[in-house]
Amino acid sequence: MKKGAFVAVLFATLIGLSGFDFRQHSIPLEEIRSGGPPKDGIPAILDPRFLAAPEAHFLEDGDLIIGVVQEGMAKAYPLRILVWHEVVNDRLGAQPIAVTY
Amino acid sequence: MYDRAIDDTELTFGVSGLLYESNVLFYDHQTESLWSQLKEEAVTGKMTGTRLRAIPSVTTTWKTWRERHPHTFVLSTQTGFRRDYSRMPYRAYAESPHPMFPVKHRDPRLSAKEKVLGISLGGIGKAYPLRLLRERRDPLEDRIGDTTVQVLYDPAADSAWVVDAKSGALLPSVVAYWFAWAAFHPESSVHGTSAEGGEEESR
Repeated sequence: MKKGAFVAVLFATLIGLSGFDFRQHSIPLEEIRSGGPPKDGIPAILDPRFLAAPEAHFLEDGDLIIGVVQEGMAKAYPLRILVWHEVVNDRLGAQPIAVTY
Repeated sequence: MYDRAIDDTELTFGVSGLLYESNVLFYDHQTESLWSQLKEEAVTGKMTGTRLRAIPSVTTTWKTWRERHPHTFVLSTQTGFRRDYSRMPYRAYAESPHPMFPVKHRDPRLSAKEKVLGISLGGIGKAYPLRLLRERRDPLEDRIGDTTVQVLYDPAADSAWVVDAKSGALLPSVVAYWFAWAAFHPESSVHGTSAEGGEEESR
């Protein structure tokens, strides 16, 4: 077996052990690479809590946020938090949303 | 920002630790399918081919947002995890001119890590280099397909977003490095280049 093919098979086996479903795919699996941290090594937020603006003492004026408005309600997700989690599973009223960074 | 309701099922997403074209792949806990953020669809597993619906959002400074939306809620640091939220990781990468990982499709129209505002509207992709938006005083008006849009630049955040010029409604867009936008939108035109296509620039 050529080295490249061996590495591809080895990698496919390793990611196969991760529990992801690779039985169907629309991209070549050998083009999927490890980014460093393992699965959930960067933990997504599943139970987000919120503060009113005047209570957000940890934020400074120049800090970046991702903002959204839905049915008159505004929500801000500081990049300061998002960089550590990359995904916030939240809800805007009845609408389930994923905030990603 | 995306809708998590897919075919009447509410999915929750986690971080796979895997990348495709140097861009993150998320996975959903319900089916273990992988989802490409910039491709905006599932690329492996049972959900393969299922599109994500983008929800328009803006990236701006806390000050700008708070002044515009004084009653805003803000995500708390009580996340259930212990992290040092006073510190930003990844700074070295942001300052390096190269992608962190190999990218298969290089597009020489712009340099790899030039930041662009990317929008895909009715299947037509367009990228606006932030460099060109920074030079402007007024919003940029443009046409994408049948839609007249305004591109608004926020100097305090060095960020930008797009609204429908007629209704004022925010449209889904993303600020990304050029190499990442180009890898997922190879047909995209670039504002300010001769290969832009479409009508002449009116400025």
